[in-house]
Amino acid sequence: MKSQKIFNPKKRRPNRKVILLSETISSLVILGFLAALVFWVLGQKNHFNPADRDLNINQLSQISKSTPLYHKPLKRWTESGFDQKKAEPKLAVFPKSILSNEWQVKKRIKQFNRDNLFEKINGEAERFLDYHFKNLFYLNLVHRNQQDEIDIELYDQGGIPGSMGIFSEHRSEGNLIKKEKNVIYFETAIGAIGRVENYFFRISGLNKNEITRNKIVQIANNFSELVKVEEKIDFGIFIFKEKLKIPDTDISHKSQNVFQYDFAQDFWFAKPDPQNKGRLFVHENTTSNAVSELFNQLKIEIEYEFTIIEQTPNSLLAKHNFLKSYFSMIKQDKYLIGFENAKQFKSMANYIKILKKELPHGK
Amino acid sequence: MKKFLRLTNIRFISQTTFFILFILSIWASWVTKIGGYPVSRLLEIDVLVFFSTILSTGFIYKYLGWSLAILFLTLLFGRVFCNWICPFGTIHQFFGWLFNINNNERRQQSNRYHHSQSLKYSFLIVFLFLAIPGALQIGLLDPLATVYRAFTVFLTPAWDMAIGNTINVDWLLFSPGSHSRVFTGSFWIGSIFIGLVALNLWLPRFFCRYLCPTGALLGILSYFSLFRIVRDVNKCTDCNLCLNRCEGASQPHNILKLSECFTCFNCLDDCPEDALSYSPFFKSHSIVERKPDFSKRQFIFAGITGLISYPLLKNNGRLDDQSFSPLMIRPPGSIEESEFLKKCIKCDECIRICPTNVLQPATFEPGGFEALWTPVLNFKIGHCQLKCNLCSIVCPTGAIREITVAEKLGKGLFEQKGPIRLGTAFINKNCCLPWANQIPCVVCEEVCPTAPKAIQTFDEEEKDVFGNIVTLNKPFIIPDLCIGCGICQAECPVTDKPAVYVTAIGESRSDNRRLLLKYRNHET
Amino acid sequence: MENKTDPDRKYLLEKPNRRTFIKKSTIGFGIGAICSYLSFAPENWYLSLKDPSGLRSLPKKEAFVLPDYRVKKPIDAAFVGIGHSIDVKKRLLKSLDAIGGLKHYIKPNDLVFIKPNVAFDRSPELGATTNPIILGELIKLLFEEAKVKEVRVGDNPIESPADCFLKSGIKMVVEQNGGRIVLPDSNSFRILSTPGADLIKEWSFFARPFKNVTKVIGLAPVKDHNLSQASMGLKNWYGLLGGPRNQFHQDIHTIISDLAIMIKPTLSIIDGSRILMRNGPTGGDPAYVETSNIIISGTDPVAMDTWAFLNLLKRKEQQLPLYLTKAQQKGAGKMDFNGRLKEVV
Repeated sequence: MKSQKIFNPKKRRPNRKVILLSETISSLVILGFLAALVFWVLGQKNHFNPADRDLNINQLSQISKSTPLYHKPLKRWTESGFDQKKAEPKLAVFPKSILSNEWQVKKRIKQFNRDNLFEKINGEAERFLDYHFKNLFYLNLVHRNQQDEIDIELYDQGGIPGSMGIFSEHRSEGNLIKKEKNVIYFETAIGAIGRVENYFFRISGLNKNEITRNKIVQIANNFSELVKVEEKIDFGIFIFKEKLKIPDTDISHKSQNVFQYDFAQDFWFAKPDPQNKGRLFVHENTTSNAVSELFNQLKIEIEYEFTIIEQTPNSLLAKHNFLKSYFSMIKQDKYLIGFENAKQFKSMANYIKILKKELPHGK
Repeated sequence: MKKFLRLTNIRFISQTTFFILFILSIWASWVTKIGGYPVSRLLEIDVLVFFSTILSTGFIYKYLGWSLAILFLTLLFGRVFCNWICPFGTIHQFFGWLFNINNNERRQQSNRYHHSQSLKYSFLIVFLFLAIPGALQIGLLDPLATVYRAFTVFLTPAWDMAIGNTINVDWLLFSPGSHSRVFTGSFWIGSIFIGLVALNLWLPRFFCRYLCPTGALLGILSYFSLFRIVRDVNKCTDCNLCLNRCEGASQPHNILKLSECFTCFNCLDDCPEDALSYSPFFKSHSIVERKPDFSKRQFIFAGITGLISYPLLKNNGRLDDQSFSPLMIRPPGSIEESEFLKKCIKCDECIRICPTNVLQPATFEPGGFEALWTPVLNFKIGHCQLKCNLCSIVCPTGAIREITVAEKLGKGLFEQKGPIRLGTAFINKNCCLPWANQIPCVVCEEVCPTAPKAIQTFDEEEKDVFGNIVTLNKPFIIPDLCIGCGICQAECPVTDKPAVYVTAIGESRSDNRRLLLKYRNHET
Repeated sequence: MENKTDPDRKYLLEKPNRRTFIKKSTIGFGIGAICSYLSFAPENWYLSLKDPSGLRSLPKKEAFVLPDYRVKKPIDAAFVGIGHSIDVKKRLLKSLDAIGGLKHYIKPNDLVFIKPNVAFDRSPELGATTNPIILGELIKLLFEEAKVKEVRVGDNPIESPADCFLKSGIKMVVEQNGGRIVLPDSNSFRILSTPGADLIKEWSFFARPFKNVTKVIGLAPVKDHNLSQASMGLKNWYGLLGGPRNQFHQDIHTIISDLAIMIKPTLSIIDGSRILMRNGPTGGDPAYVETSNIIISGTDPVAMDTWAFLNLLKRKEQQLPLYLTKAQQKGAGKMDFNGRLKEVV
């Protein structure tokens, strides 16, 4: 077989012998022209107007009168078959009176339980959970003008102690407490915070104006219609409210970390004298041994900051090293009572005597 | 040194230089590289483009006048363009030379003149007669349009594929910074290109001798050329060695056919007797055949074919304003369709330079045969980038009129006229996720570039099949604001059958393809 | 007529010879044995090509994991530092010094990757992309103060990358200051695995610019966003993902919280120089943009986003987007910035 070549084997060798001068000169001219052409092409790199290939910001500014567009409001979901207008929004526990011609539900009620509470109030959730939180009902109202909105958070704290406790955490000295039937609340910069029965509520408005403020106050008042939950009266309330006649607003409850100690739990506090910071406290436990242990632990701890003036196996009186305030506690059966932050010794002793008298005798 | 400065060597250097400039124009066709480089200049100096656009439109666009330089060159020196400048000719000559293993006898046989070489004149006459009433089809066979189209659609993506999968060097790629580019019709365009190049292994310079209409036109113009190859009969021994490497098959060994001679000067080198020279007509006494070998009969037939092809192309119902295809979406800056088809030479420059790969050579679907390989936008592949006007800059004939970005977006001086609209978007509520399936989506609204957006949403609460209450943003189109850029269609997650799609209706380049009577966002 | 030089004829004339027989038969058997081994040997044997179920021949999607680029902040420094100043460099330095200083986080000879927001080809005044002036100053600071080896800038926008980098001014400013732009193409992506993510456990990621990188900085503008309420530091990392990202809008808040744990950058910087107040994220009208002299940098991206939402976009606390809560749940940071933030005016 013949061997097949792949590529052209011939060499480019010219056969001619004569090359005229005119040919050489014209070749040089052509070479020069080619070189000039190449340089010209390469030099064209920046030969353009960048403004034509881009949009000047000044040209855009001319349309700053943007076309205003109408946006349809949110269409709520209703069960089909019902007329949109007549359909009543589900209000869960909220009283119907919070709605009106002006104010309607904007978003459906959102409900949160112990597991997903943090989705709504992230970092604060722990505090609420401490106070026996059960459910949060979150409602958003909107005014007819589509501008003003009100957010309502209604926390079911599982019982009066819980709602009292969390309310006392929110409350500070300067708040002006208002009372409407069984609703206790105070107004804040953006709304109102208060409690009623076992519920604690926070209302806040999107805008600060007269309409919003009036509505918020009205809602707080309307909460008095919330269903009353039958609950056994707690010992602390029994003692302070029924027996000592201390008003509701001055009674509070702390379930964890009392006095900043993790072993102290479930204390009821009451302020007998509104002018004074000093508070009576009472703690009920299941056995007297537990109370004894608590008493001893507290004694050990307070020695760091207090100087013990008097002590007996069942009682203790101490004075704060810097603040010069008095702290006293007495254990009796399964109760631990006492007074903290007292300025005057005599009145403190008085109050404790009254309290001790009211303690149930026996086990 | 003297031996080096032969005309054949200079021709070789010239061919290489122009081929390198050709590759440079391909490489520089990218957003960040283009600068002011004249990437379409080789097309703009094509004499056939010059003549046929004058016939079809009556005017000379932008740089097309530079083809007069080639015209004068041809009138003086003959078909210099074919062998010294044309990159397609370079490719044919290269592959024909590389794989040619014939001996001298076979070579001389293959370089003899065949009468069928007059076929290219018939093609030329057909195209010119088609151009007169206004159907420009030279792009099918024009050498520069063909080579640019083949490189754009077939060879540069092949190069990117090879380089991208092996060494991955950014500046070597032709399309860096985007995904591998795809082009509809690349199979046929590439196959035709390979076929034409492969034909050189059978008959050298097959395309240039038999098919090229530009060559035909230059051949006709060589009638007037001053210089020609002259054979000194006294020195000639009839050895036929000059036919060994004759590119044009112009019979230098006998009576030279001036219209076929490519002025490659290979015959000058091959003659051992120095009998051939290149001289002006007044210095020689030899007879040459100046007239192309094209009879009156052939001319008449070609002319009739050309004229009768006009209704053949135009009456297929794809191009008139009543039955146009919704896919016939043209690049921004395009002129109205019937005028567009008088100018587009299917060179696919715009398709190559488009940064998002949305421009595609049209298949038969949008416009039938006449609009084959003209640029249309395919929004499944990409979208029209908002502040880009590159396709209008590179179009050599003005089928896409050069526009500034301000004109494209309707800003500045063009505020009153409004933006250039390529089409209008519509939503198919049966596929759209929020409308049909209660699943939140609205990618289309997010990516709509106009201000205010041409896609807006209204909120609705619905209960989905799993019992969850979801708040849905349901999109709707504002056709007064839509510019038809197609990014909504390109980004719709229902990728294969988009729920929001753009069709050609409402395009601003055409008076008869408008959708809206008035624009509600204008005061006037 | 047979040709006398026909190789077949040569073969026929050759006399059978024991040596050639043995040679040819061993070659034959050897090839047969190798092929049988390759086809029938059990799959776990060395070099076995057996593929009964067809699954062995499928390409394996190998996912990689990004290293943790975080640097522990100094004990007395804040988590978030806010700098006010008319001068851009002073602004950057003030906010960086509040969290411990640039030199604490970026060491000499580091390879830094900056992720700006180059999502659209808008001019920088429209607030839809990162302000190139800020980016330029940051690159200058990295080279001059921290003496890094190389600064890379990259993004994977939806639109044409070359156009976006060019028209937003980012390309020019990066090249002027000696940085390097990395544009995406089909070979730059690898599958990234994010353990702990809900929806993007494995997703295509723009991996090429991360090769040999030692420190990562995110530089995001503040934008309104129709779907996710805001697009700031956390959403900025969206730009590094590939594949069908248009599916993300079906649950955008979970996706953004996944992004928060997908990448653990050295520093996050939120640029408040141009704030897109409405019609985000594409913008398009300079009337939607408000300017300020604030820049926020920090190591807690959730707190930074919260502060920027409340103070730069000036929205109310009730409107805080859901993705912040989800990101906090996943441990990417804490929304509460009180006590962890230092503002330097």
